[in-house]
Amino acid sequence: MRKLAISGATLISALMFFQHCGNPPPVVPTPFTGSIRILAMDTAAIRNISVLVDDVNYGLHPNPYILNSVVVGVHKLFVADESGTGASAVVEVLREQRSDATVWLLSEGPYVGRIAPRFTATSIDNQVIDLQQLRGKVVLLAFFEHT
Amino acid sequence: MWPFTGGCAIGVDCASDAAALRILRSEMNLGYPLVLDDRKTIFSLYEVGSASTYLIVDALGVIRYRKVEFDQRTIFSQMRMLLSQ
Repeated sequence: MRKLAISGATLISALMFFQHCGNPPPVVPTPFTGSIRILAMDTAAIRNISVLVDDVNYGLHPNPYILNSVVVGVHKLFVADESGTGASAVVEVLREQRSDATVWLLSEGPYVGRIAPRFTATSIDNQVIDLQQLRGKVVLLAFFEHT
Repeated sequence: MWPFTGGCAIGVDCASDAAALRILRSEMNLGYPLVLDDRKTIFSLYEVGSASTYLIVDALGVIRYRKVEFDQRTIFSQMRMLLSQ
């Protein structure tokens, strides 16, 4: 009588085969994805940008750059120009949609990136100025002293 | 003259004489409001130590630019970029 020798691996393969017999193969769910349009801004034009998403380097690309097939959710961006000046941003990617991420590389002076403190004042022409009410407009604040 | 549509400028001056500011405004044909901040309340709020400091605040209220000295080219470039968004 011949002895039937079956290795452990063969046995597991055989068991898996019989387990799936007649059933469709298991489906691995495809994650929902969207895209991000990344635009780096500065006082001068930026031709190329390095892009990192969640600390994964996506290399150097023309500015702006559209990164496709990004899994939906909130992602951390880091964008740098060719000189190495970089800045971070957080972007939410939605299913089959394009999210815009504008990253400012400008870093002149302190307080850039902070919310402007609110103030209300009256101009010399008795015009009441409330910075809060100017939301939606781009405002230049010029501080000076004329003697 | 103020060249931007959709944007505005506010001058904050810590001089002590409102009358002098009115004359200056008239002579220089400044097309934006001037605020007399003789007690330096707004200067302190923005921690501005040096007169001739310029800030640009975007439509969301975030400071996007700050520099001591009037760099017209950069300031106008920034304004244009922010207004085009």
